[in-house]
Amino acid sequence: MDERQPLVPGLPRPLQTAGRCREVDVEEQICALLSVSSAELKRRAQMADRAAPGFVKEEALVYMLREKARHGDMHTAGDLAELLVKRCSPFVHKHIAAWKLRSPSHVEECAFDVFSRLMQDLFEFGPSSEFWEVRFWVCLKRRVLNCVQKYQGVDRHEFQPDPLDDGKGHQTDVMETWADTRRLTPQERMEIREALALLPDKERLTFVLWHYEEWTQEEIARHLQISDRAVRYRLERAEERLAAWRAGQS
Amino acid sequence: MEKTHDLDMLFAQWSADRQAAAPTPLRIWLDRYPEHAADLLQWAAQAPLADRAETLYTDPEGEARTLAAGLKAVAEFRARYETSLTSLLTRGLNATSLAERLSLSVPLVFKLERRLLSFASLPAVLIDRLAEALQVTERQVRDYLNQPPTLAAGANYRADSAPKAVRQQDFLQAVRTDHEMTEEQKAFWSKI
Repeated sequence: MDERQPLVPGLPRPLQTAGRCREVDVEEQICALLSVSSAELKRRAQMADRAAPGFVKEEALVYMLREKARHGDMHTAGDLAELLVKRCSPFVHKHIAAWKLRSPSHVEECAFDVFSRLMQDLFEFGPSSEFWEVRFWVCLKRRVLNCVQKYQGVDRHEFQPDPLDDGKGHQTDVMETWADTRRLTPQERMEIREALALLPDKERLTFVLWHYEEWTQEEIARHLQISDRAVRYRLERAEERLAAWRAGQS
Repeated sequence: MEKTHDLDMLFAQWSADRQAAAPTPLRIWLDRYPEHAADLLQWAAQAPLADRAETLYTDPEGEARTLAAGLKAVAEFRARYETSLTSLLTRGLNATSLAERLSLSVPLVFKLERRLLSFASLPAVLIDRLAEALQVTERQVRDYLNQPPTLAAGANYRADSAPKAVRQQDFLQAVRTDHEMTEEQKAFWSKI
């Protein structure tokens, strides 16, 4: 079957995935931008006030960037990419900052990777990347989370956390003893979000499923394919790390 | 579900649902999309931190460093597409005019430039046309295209293993699935 869809002059290309469409206002913005010069397009794209009537949404900018690239105008496409990066950087920065990477170089490298992936996706014309024209910020958020999670692993590897022992070199066997079945209150959950960045991935997941999703230990064990003992162990380790964080806060 | 874009869509749906007055429990999502259980669990574990990120105060210095990293990524990308494509492959032609001369689409020209198409599947006619368009010898074109594929711009992601280049695609398959080429162009290459 021919997947090409007819192009109507002055109208945006339809998305390639059936059942998916851009927002109406994005389509309208694209229609308006298709008839303007590259210089005018860049002028409008530079408008920073989101509340202003002529503000061009990111989804429309992605479409125009790809349209320019399709026609070989890589210079204008590159300029639009630069504008998008400028718009994105506060968002990317906050999402990386929340994860408290300890190495400044990891923070920088993580940001670079996020933007490299953004560039790669922006200049892909297939259906795998068209969702950027539908929900730009959602796509960006997913890429940032993927990158930052990876860098958190690298960061943790390089900055080994202090072992959890009694200070005399004795590790406590908590697997049989952990009996704290209390769940955090909504207020506590809000307060402790910041410290979740300090937990290794497996502990964070187990902790979130227990305290935020309110799963039972059996449920967690079944979904993560681990034993009940392992669930209790992870929860206890997480509690200890968070207790240390609380002590440092006070 | 196909991997990337459907995951984006699922993430969009899941994120929107979390903002609802009565969000759908995670276990329901897992029942609906068991094939994406690992992704859903990861998103759930990340969600409290992502929510907090939205509330962080502005940090002008940090943002400036992030922006610098972003502009560096753009600059590397631009250098790649505005020089390598126009140096070895296009020699004064832009991607559009080269695509026209080759009866290909601009995206396919990019794939050629990144050597994402299997050399063995490239028709001799294409090599001839490239050599003529670029005013270089066929040997030079073959030498260029017969090298390993290049990584995507900026693909130096930190990982436990070395980054792998994208798998090369068969030329005819790339033509058939191209969304920019006309039917005539596709028919032309299919007959060769």
